[in-house]
Amino acid sequence: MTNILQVRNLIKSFKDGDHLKKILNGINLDIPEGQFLSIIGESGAGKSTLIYQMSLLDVPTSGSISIFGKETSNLNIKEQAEFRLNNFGYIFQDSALIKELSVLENVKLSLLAKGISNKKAEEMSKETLTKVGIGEMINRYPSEISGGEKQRVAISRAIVGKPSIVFADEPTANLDHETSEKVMKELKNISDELKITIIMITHELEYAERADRMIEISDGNIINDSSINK
Amino acid sequence: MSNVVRTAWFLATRYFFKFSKWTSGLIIFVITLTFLNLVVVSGLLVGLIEGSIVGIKELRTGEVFIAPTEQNQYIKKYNELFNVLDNNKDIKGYAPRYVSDARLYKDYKTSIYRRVGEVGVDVYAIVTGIDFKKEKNFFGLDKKIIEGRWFVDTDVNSVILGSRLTAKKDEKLFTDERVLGDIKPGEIIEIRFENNTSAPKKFQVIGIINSKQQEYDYGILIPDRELREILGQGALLGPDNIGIRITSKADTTYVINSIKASTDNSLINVRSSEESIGKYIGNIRKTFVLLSNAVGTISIVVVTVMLFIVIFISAITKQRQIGILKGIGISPLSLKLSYMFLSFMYTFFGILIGLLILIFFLIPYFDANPIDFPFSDGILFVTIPGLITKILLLFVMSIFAGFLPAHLITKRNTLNTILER
Repeated sequence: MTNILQVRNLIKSFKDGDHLKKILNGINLDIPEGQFLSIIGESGAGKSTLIYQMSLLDVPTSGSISIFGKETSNLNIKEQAEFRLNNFGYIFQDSALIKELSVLENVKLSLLAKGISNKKAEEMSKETLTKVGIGEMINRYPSEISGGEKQRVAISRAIVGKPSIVFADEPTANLDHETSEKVMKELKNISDELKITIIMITHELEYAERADRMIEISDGNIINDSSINK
Repeated sequence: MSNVVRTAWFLATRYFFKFSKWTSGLIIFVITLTFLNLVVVSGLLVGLIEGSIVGIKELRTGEVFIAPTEQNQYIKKYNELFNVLDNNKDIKGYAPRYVSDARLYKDYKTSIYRRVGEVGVDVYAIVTGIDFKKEKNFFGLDKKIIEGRWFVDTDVNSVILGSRLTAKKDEKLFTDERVLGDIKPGEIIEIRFENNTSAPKKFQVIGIINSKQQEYDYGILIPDRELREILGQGALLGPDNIGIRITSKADTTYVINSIKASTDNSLINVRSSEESIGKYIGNIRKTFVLLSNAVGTISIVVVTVMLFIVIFISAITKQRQIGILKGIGISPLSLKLSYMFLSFMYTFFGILIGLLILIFFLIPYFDANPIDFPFSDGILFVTIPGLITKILLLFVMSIFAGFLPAHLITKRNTLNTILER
C-alpha cells in the first residue's frame, strides 16, 4: 500500500525561557493510504503537537512532512488553507461546531468553500448526516443537541468532502462511555467503508486498539509502533 | 474568488441573524442616528440659507431679476422694457416695484412714520409701490399677510406694514432696531415721504406682512399708482427692480439672453435669481456646508470607532471559532470579508431605517412645519447627490470598520487561535 503521509526527522521545539524545549524529537513515520492510526501517550508526550504538524495547523522547527509525496514545508498560508480544505477533515476534542450555524450549515460550509453548489452541498450534507444517524437534526443548532450528537456532526463535517485524511484529536474525550462507543463505531465505519485514512489521538487504550495500527509517544519519540490484529 | 465571497456572505448572514437582537438593534439604532445626524443637521443648516434663497426667488426676484446698473438709481426707459417683457412668450408674468428715491438707510431723522398722537416714535423704512395684482398672481405675496388683508381695487390711502416694524421690544432682532411697536390693522399712521415737501400724510394700515424678505418686512407696501400720485412722476422716475416669472418649460439663461438682446444693457442688469442674490449668501451657504461637514465628520468617526469596537469584540470572542474555520480550510480572506459584510449589513439596515424616517417623517414634517427663522423658513434641504455621497461615505467607513478588526484577528497563528493561547 502506498504511503499517503511521510514524516521524516520531525522536530518541534518551543522557547522555554532562555533555552529551547524539544517537544518532538526527530519523529519518522510512514502512514499508508486508508490506514486507521491511533496515537497514544501521556499528557505532554507530544501527540497533539505531532498531529498539529501533520495536519498543517502548525509549522515544524525542522524535518519534513510529505503528503501524497508532496513536500508541505514550502506551502504558503493560502496554499496550506487550500490543502487542508481539499484533503483533510478535522474532528476536534469538543466538536468545535459554529454555534451560529445549524447542523446542516455546519456540515455544508466547507463544501460551499470548495465551490460546490448550495443544492449539491445540502444533498451531500444530508446524506452524510443520515449516515451517522442524525439526519433528522439538520435544522437544529449546536446548542440544541447533545455532546455525542455534536461529535457526530463534527464527524460529518470532517468526512462530507471525502477527504484523504481525517485528523481526530481525542474525539471521545468529553463523552460518556456509551456515546464514545457510538463515535468510535462511526470512525471505524468511515475507515472500513470509505477507506479514508484516519489519524486519531486518544488517551484510552480501549479505543486506540480499535485502529489498524497504534503508536505510542513518549518525550517526543515514538516508543512503540504496532499493528493490531483484529 | 467567488467561493471566497460566497462563503463570506454565507457566514455574515448567519452571524447577523444569530447575533444578539439587542446588540444588533443598538448598533443599527446608532447607525440610524448617525445617518440622520449627517443628513438632517447639514440639511437644516443649509436649509436655513436655502429657505432664504427659495424665499427670495419665490417672493421677490422670480427666475429672472432686473435692476438698474450701478450708475442708475432706477430703471430707465421702462416702458420699452415692459414692451419687451410683454412680448416674450417665455415670460409668465413680471412685477415692477417702485421705491421712494428718498430712502435713507442710516439717516433716521429725515424720514418719519409715527402713530397719530405719539411723539418721538419714528423709524426709517422703505416704501415700495407695487402692482398688487401682479404680486399676488406671480409672487404670492398676499399669502404672507399675517394680520388683516391684501389690497383690493377700491383701497385708497391704505398700506400694508412690514411685520418687523410692528415688532415689540422683546422681538427685536438687533438692539438698535427701531420699531413702531404694536400696530393692528385698521390703525392710522402718518408717512412723510422723502423728497416730498408736503405735510405728512395719513394712511390706514390694512394688513401686516411677514415674508422673511427684509425689503418688505422692514418696509411699507403701497399700490404703485398711489405712490405715483403722492410723489408725482418727477420724483418717481422708474422701477427700482422687476421680478420675472418664466414659464415652466423656459430656460432661464435663454430668457436672460433674449431680454438682453432686446434692451439697452448699459441701463439695466438682467440676472438669474441666483446671480442677483450675490456672493454674500453664497458665502454663508458655503460656511454652513462647511460647518455641517465638520459635524458630520465627527459623527462618522464616532460610528466608525463604534463599529470597529463591536466587530473587534465580536471577532475576539470568536477567536477560537475563527481558528477552527481557518483550520478546516476556510480562507482567511473569507473570514475577513464575512466581518466586513456583517458591518455592511448593520450599516445597510441603519441607513434603510434612517431613509424611511427621513422620507416618510422628517421631510414631510419640515415641509409642513418649516422652522421659523427671522430671515427664512428653515427647510430640510436634502439633495439626491448629497444623500448618495453620505450613504457611500458611511458604507466605505463601515467596510473599513469591519475589515480591519477581522484582519487583526485572522492574521494570528491558526493553531494559537484554536488553542486560545
